[in-house]
Amino acid sequence: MNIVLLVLAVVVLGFYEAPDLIRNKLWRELAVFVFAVGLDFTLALLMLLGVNIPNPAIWIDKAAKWMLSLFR
Amino acid sequence: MSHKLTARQLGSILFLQRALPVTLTFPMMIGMQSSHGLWIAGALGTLISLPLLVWMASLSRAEGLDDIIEISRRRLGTTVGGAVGWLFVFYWMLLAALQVRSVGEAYVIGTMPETPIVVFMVLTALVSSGIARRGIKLIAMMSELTAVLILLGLLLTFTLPADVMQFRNLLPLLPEDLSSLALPTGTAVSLFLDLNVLMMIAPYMKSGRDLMRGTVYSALISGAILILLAVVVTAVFGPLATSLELPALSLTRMISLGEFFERLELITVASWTSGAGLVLSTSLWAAAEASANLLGLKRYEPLVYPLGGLAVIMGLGMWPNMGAFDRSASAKSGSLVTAVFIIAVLVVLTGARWLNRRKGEGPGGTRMIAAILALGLTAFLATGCWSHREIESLGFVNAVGVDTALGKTHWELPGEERDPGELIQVTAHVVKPSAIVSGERGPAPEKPFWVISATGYTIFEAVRNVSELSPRRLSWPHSRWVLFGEEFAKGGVARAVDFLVRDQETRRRAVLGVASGARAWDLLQSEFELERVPGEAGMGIAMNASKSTSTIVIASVNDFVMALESEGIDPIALRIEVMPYTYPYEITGDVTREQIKSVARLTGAAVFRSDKLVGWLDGREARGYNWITGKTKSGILVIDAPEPSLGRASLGSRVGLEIIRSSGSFRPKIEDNGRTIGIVIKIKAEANISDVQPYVDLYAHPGLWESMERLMAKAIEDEIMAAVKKAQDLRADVFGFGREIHRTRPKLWKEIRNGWYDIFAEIEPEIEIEATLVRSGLTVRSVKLNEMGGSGGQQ
Repeated sequence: MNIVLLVLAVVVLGFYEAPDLIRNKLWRELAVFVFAVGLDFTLALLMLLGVNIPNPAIWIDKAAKWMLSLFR
Repeated sequence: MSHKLTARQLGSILFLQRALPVTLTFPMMIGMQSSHGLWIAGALGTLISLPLLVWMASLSRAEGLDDIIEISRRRLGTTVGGAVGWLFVFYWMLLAALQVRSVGEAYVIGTMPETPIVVFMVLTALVSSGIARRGIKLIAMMSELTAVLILLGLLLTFTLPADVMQFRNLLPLLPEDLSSLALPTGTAVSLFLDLNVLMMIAPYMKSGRDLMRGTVYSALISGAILILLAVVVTAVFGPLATSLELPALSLTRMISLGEFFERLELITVASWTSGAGLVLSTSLWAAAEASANLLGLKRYEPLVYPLGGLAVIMGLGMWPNMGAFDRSASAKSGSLVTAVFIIAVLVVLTGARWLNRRKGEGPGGTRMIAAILALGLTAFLATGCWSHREIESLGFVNAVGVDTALGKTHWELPGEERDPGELIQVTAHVVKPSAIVSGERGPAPEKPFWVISATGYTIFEAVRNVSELSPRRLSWPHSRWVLFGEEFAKGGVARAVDFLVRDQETRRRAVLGVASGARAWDLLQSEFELERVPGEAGMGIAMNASKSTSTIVIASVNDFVMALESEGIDPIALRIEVMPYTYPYEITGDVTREQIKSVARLTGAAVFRSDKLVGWLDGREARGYNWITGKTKSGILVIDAPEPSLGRASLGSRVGLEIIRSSGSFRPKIEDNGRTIGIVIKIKAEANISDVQPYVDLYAHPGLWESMERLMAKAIEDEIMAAVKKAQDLRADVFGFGREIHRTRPKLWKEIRNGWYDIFAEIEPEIEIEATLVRSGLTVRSVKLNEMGGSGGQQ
């Protein structure tokens, strides 16, 4: 169900943005758009499937710990 | 129309950005042990941030108002500059993720806990991306409108709970350990540094001067809001301030405007989240525009929606719970990294500029689409409720009772065997609207309320078990009473209070009462004359008694929990007795419904030591307590007749005085370096003469005023001493003498706190009373009986 919604969202977004880009021959823009939507789709799908995705919050936390350790 | 932004528009964008972590979560306070000195941290944070923000603005100005991506590529080369640019994009996405999650949390925690958070986050991201896609100009115009509304709303939130503010909660001004201010100050600074988006907006400003002005104004106003919130939250919640998840929201929940305007917070949540939606637009716009620049795209628009989606995914995935979310905003974690990054970028870019100077021009221009439509869309978010409930399907709980369990209640099914000693019994007093309505045939014959009870290991479990028995979904926000049975109160109420402050359906303003010699269950069976719903009747009596006699102590759940958590003060609550009630006369006519069998009598106070009930104050002692704490509003003092009063004994020898105005306060008196500790209680009271039994002529004997004032002072002193003696006997410092020492002499308090109850029991308070008699009613002398009739036929 959730996956259906996700696919639907991607399709709707594609129809919303892509035609104008194609009409104006903005191929570079289109490529970046497709990449960005693809990234969203992949991440969201992995999340829905319960796959562990690397979490930037943990890297940031580690960076903060490291910075704090410099002060001590 | 100009494509440039004004200083005010920039200021609004930045203000909203900085106000978001203030109105929703309040990250500055997270991790603090107490909120003492929090406002100082806010002021310090603002002071430190201001030059940093000015630095950002002047860097952009010096670089010809180019955006930060342009500047870093020019100064640091395409590779390094590009990397810095991508870090900025990541930073803004991180902010976007935090922002969209904050909005979702605010809705879920504050208003609709059953709705999945992703619903709010997706809706917010959709609306915000839609705005961001139409350019910074639209964001600016909408921010300008919203910022004013939010500023006004915040100021109202800061002033309306004035009746529950106690500014002495701010004492001692400094926390015990000054270094504890470092963390909140750091958090405040790093949140100010999040305003770096101004370096992305710079190309859209008319002049460097506007950029600077907008930046400085927004910083100053945000700083003021920050400090005010710290002050107000501390004044209202005292030591509980640091326990709040959404402080500003909790503050709106303390506002009481009329009886049924209870869910005011919905309005504030809606306005704050629409502000937050705009902040999200700004972050998404910045990230999209920066990525487009970095990739050499002609348009940034196609990137906005995908980035909005990414923000939702990051917002959902990065923080598994609120604890992790709160920490990420603290200067100990995420904020430290971002702050270091920003300051490093500023230093490097300024350094590079010094080494070689060049100039560039910035582009400009955006599209504008109907602002109002989008604003309306944002507000729409607030109205479509996922977990909406129709009023017909609700049962309004008017009072809640908590008791020790005797076993399962007779409503409950015989499920698993449980030890009654560990169970808590919760009784709900539900209003029956159908029985309140009185039609042509007079009031309905049935009782207008339903009392239902269930048990559980925790309050919430019991509440759920009560709900299970109710055909209508029980709604708790209108509950005006929390009542403890005596036995439960004696055993300690700590296991009940957490639920009362944690759950969003209960009210911190509910009055807390203890049933004297009874169970809360019995108390909730009581009824009153004149008012059909007992909870409302009880509230009426409580209000009347506190206004006209001051012989009861009204304490809200918030007051109670605040006292539980503070050092040097013990909680106090209202005492309620259950009295059998029988009509003294035969009722004639059609009495179709059963008579009132018992009534509740509100009198005095229940004294706790920590969370356990230890004793009671009677009405007179309760007024003594009210004198000391400055809560006496009015009351009748009966004194002996002054000399010289003429007249016969049969006329009586008492004088009644009506207190019309009073104030009371106390302060510790510490001598010999803390070896002798005393308390000075200061009372000012004004009274009118309300009835005089003997013959008194105030006009002929002006000295009578003074002698009556002396008697009045004595009467007040007796009441005060009665209260102090009782509290000393119970060894419960309900007045907060200890807390006052803690507030004014924190160092001394540290030394004496362990032996405080022994010291408290020995204190001989010095009482200074300034009693004034102001008026004598409509007469200057008493009614004078003529002597002809002698002393009456009987004598």
